[in-house]
Amino acid sequence: MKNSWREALIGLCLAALPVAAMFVLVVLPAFEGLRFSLGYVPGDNPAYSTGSHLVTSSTPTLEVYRTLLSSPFVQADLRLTLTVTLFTVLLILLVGYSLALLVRFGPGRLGAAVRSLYLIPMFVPVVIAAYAFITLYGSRGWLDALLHHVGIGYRSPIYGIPGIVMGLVWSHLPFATLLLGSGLDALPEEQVEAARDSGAGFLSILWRIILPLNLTPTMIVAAFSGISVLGSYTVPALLGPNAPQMVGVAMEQYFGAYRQPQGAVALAMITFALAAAIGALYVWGISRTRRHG
Amino acid sequence: MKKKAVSALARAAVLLSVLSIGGVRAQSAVTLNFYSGGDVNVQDLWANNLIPMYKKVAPNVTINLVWSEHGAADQATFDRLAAAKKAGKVSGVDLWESGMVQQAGEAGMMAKIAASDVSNLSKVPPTIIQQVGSYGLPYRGSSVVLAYNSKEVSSPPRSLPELFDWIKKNPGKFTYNTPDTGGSGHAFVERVLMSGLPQDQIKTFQTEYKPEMVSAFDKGLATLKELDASMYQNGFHPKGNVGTLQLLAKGNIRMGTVWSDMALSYLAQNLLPPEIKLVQLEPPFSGGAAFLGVAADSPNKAQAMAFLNWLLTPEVQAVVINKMNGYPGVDWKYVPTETRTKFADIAKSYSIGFQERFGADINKLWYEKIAGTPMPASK
Amino acid sequence: MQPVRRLEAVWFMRVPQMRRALLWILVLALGFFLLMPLLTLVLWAFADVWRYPSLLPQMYSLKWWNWVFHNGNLGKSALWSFTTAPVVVLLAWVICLPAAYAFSRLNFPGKRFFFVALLAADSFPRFGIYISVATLFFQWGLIGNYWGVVLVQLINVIVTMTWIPTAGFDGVPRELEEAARDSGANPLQVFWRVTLPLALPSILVASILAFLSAFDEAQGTLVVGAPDITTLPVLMYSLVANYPEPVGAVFSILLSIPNLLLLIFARRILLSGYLAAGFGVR
Repeated sequence: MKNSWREALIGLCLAALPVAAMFVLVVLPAFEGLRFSLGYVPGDNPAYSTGSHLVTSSTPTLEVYRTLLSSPFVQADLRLTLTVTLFTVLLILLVGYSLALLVRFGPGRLGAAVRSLYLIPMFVPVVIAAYAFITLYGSRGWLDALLHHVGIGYRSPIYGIPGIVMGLVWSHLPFATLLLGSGLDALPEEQVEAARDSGAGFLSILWRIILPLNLTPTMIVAAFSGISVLGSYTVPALLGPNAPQMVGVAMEQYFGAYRQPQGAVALAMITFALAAAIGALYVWGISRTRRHG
Repeated sequence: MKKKAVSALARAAVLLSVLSIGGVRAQSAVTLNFYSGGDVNVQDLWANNLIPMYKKVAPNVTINLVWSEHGAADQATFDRLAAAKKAGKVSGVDLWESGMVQQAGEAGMMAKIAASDVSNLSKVPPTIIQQVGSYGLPYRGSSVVLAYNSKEVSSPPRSLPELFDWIKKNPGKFTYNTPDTGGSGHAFVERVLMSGLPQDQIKTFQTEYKPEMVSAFDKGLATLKELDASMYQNGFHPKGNVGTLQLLAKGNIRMGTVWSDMALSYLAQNLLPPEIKLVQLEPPFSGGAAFLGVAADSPNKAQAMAFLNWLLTPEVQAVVINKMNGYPGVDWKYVPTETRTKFADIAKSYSIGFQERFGADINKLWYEKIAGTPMPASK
Repeated sequence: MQPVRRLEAVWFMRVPQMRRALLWILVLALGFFLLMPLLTLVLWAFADVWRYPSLLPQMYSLKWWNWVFHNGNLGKSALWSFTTAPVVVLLAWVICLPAAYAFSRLNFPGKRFFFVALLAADSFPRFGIYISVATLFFQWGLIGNYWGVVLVQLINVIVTMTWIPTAGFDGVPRELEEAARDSGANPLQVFWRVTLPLALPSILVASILAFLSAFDEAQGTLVVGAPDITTLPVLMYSLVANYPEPVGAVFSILLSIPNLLLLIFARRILLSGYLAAGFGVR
């Protein structure tokens, strides 16, 4: 009895360190932002109080959110963000699986080559990646020049939705492939062998054995990439269309270019709500598979 | 940390020199922390010309230049001033060169600059000072001009209607950068919006701000939207001043709006082909002054104001113009005749942009009405 | 329709040459996607004149390297980058590793809640945080300050540095610890000689990721550190936005070299599944 008390105390003390750090560095500032977005304008914080079109109220009001969410332009931003998130996550899974499967089941030499290849984006700062994409895929970039010599017309995808998606997929691939690959490594070899012996083709093995058994890593990759893509800034700021924008960029514009910090903070809250929903799905999914596994 | 070490060293050096003179002027030896940012040529102007020059005029004043590439730290410096005010501490910023001086001034973080402190202020066109609520002093200017490919365009447009005409007759060959990412795009947008305003009200838009006045931009916005269909890739706008220059360099477009000083330096570095030429419209695109403000919490306000006053003297202004290929902060008539003759063809005033808060609203309107609205179905 | 199509797919996949060709096309496409952007940058870095539609620069030169070394405040930024990122990792060890051990080995109330709460806090959009974190930091004198930059970079590494090592500690077999204890080692000795060495690979993986994230961080560093403290990515942001292609390209290569060296060392350990374990795979 006494021992477990001591253990609980020590445990709490140790765990308190990162939790406290998170509280001070994230939760407190976020809370101040939340109050601001609800109409409480702190007079002593000029970064907030000098904004244009402020909504000031002594009681909490949803006015800022109402104005934002009823604007067709913000709606378009949110739609674009969700579309990009969905397509990016799907593509990350697709390409990530291709790479992981190549490593796991491809011929030895190929597997090794792919293994060295897919980690690279993890080590390249994302601003460089976005920049590199412009020089390669941009209008009159290298690919344009190549296709010009072959005689194929080219319209650069870089300043459209595909540009954002490509950049985000590129930068998230290593994480996804590592996780999916680890899941594949843990698959029981015998089951795959047995299915192969009974004459099942690769695709049906994939569909009937590999995917169901690899559900947890798939979910994790989807959730973490989803959250990260949702709030991404660098890639959509450098690539992508003039408008609509991803919310990460819109936030920055509300704060900087439009001088409406209240709108910026409210957009951050909306993004957080979306990310939290994905996070909740992930936690729920994990606890389910843990219970069964 | 490093900065602290440097200024401590500087202070020690000043102290030493003072001691050797005999300590008479010990109390007047100060260090002014000067936060600034911009292109390397601006850094060069300060570090290698103006600051050494001032050292000779005022040996007791050490100017500690804290530089950031391209004003990337404007928001950070603003936040620092804001946070210092909130915490009731001294920010450590004495002088600040930034487009945000007015915003900071309204929040009580910058000092008003009055002719009683800076006597040379009378030489500056008053509209420019009103534009930033007297919270900043313009010490140099630059103007947006039209850049065009002289191989493709034999006679460039000279006025706004001529430019509109050219754009429509040459679809896909003109663009400007998004107004929030660079002044050259913003100047085009403001010029078009200005053309849609009642001419007698323009001055109000330059010096005052009332949110409800924004509806007066509707006419100009409609013109912009109409032009957008004839722009590069049916309305693609690059990000940043450099974006337009790169499109010109690659031959994607034949005409665009650029900062005169940036384009000149690009031409000099062979980054733009030599056939790119510059021309100013009549009436001109708006230019911008670089504003220098004094922090309200600066313990060395008097010395800072004296420095500002010195910057507006004719000899210093001549150095600024020659180094930057730009415009003076003072009216041209206060510039030495020799310099004025050298820059005769641009030695006229640029037009002045809208009040800064309108600038922010215009950014938002542009993203909503121009970039964010689908093109109306063709007639 | 369905059976026919399936038959075709099967036939296609049954021909070994076809299968191999398909595989190689796939690999080449992926290789192009992953590598080609970087190769284009390398070319730009050495280009003097490169005008469309030439596939290679018309003229090469090193003048932009010279420019970057003399104009970009490169040395100063590099110094800041390499003095902040490693310290962030060290600080994260101090804050997160004891907690990781506790999450793995000790029973205490609210354990699962705190573990998940870290993730919840982590998914708040960064930009919203940085705006108000600056106010807080000023009251503590952390603006334009080395430790302020370290703290703001720390935000992004807490979850990694807690979660992955927790799984690492989870993976140390209790029997080994018990065996050591039975042979007379005290709890501290058991931890140093058995538990820590076995959990070390996962701590290393977490440290590599933390280093990369701290090294890559620009937005928060800008708000808290600039203009006194500018790291390499902060400099890169303004260069990309304001200078011609070759400058950004040269800078990209310089910025990537330390990371790619790290990749060579870290490749093996990253590929051995510790990262995945940290996020709950297996």
